[in-house]
Amino acid sequence: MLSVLVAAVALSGQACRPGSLASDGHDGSPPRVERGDGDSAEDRQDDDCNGDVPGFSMPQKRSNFHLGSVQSVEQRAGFERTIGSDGVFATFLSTGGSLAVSNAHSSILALGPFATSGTANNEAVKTYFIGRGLPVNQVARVAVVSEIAFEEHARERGTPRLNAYASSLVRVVDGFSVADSKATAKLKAGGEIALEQVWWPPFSRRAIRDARAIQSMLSDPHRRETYLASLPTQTKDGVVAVCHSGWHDQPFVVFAAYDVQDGQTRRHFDLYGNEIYLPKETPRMTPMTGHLIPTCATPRSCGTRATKP
Amino acid sequence: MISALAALVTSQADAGNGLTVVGISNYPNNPGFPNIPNAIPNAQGFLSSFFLGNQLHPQQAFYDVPGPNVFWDAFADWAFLDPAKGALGFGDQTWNQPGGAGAISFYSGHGGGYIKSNQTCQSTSDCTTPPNGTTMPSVCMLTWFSSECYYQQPTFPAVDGVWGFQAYGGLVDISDGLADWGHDDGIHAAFMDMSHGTKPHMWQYQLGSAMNGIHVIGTIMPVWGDEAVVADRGQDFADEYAINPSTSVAYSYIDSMELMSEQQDGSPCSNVANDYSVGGGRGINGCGCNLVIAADTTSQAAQAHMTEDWGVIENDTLNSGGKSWFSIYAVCNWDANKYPFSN
Repeated sequence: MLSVLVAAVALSGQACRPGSLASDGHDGSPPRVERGDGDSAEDRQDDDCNGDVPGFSMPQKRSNFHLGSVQSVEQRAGFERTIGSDGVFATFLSTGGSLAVSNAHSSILALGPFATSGTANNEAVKTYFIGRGLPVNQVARVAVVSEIAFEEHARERGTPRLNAYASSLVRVVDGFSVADSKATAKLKAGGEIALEQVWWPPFSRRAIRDARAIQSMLSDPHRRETYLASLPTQTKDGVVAVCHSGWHDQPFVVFAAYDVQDGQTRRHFDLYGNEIYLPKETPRMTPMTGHLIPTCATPRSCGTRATKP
Repeated sequence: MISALAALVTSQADAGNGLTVVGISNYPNNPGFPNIPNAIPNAQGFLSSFFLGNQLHPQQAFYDVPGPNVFWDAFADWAFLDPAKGALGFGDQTWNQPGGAGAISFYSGHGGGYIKSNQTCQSTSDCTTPPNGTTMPSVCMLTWFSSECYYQQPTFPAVDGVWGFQAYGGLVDISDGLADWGHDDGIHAAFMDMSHGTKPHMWQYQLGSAMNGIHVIGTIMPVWGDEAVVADRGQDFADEYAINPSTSVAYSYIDSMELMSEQQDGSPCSNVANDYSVGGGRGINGCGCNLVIAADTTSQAAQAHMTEDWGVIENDTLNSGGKSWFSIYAVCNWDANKYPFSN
């Protein structure tokens, strides 16, 4: 069942060309599970291709990520990588998503934090991304994480040291969380950026329409009760959200869902209570380009069994 | 240039670049552990992003589902432990990869054995009554809204006790000296995406005791709540290698928290539902951190392991020489400078 749904998600619809993010070549495919909700395929295609929610991407040349001196630019495995003396800025060409990572010995890693308050870090990061064109009306708030370090002698307790804060913009569109989107920067002293990720794709407004349909259904007490009772989860508490695929997943997938944190696992359900999955949540065929490590003389010595009892 | 250097490194006799990946999603024989469907995708995400890095790595993958070129059965508990230290079973060849072949092992599955004290505290001096199964020392574990006395107890990766194949019922104590990672030119880095990998200031005991030459161990440190078993921590971790093999392995692991989603990858660091205003998510249901630990004979040597990149970490000549000093880095899903995780 799972693979059928995933296949439907991946294959439905045709690629749209969102007008709001022409620079990065992103194809906002309108993937969704077909449910026979009354729209013809043509209607759906028209709807999907008209009026995308605007996205945002960060070209390397506009980023403040600390690259050092640029050594080379190369394209490989779908990425364009700008290689600097202190780090690499990579863009996944087919989505426009980007990730920039410092070298292990980049001089800025030894710097202290940009600020000693998470709030100040949040403000600086928000100002940075908004200044680069990220739609301000899609920013609900800014979230912070903290990097803490200890150096300690055996059997002694060290003193914590703040190394850095990283701040992430939290995306909301028309009141619905789009939590898979990312605009994150880790700042070091002087405002140097040690880590940056931007994955803020445009997507079809149909996802918002679907989210509204779920919300509307849940506002009806009778339908809500029936719907929640149908969910195969221990808890029924959840939120209506827009979910989308990762920065180098292909094809692009976006859907509206009722999201439930079920024990240790986040699960997504469509308007009809069917569980749906993002590409990252499905077991995938792992590329096996290497060879098996020859330390295992027999399957048993590897901690495995060769046949199922 | 980078790939040429990496090829040179991996061709040296003192360097191993093998990978072991373990993903356990199904726990039919351990009723205390619900199935966690994202554990296998998490492990596979690590491996598939790793190969975007375009370098050849010998590998072995253990998932509890069938697949091509995959050891499909569950991983044995004893594979974490060294018989030379008195452990049962058939040896730690798969996890520790001794003999210079291995570089990194990655586990995604349950962790178990967390004994809550249900004691509130203001400081560690308040925590003097260890419950059964725990011992002193203790720590007062804090968030912005909670406190709990935590007492020393082991870290337990929890594989499934499938078909009588396990020696320890699937629950492995890696803190009692039987885990011996890095011995005989074994692995240089181990990562365990699991519940209760360690707790504040218990890391020397819980993880340090498993270190014998290994450069770095990374795991999850829930402070309030638990790990969220998400599908993308492994992928986010390996993405950093894929785009920049010259980045730090240790930083890549802790920085995967920054790359994960706050609201799609866990629940809030709050006792109010859906209130992420102070933090949360990013692979944690509640408040927690991604943590890495390194040990060596001096503080400088321990810190140096934190800046080993994905090529350098393969070098056996850089194996840890001792455990006199520890270096610990953590990225936490809230402002742990404003609200420290211990007192």
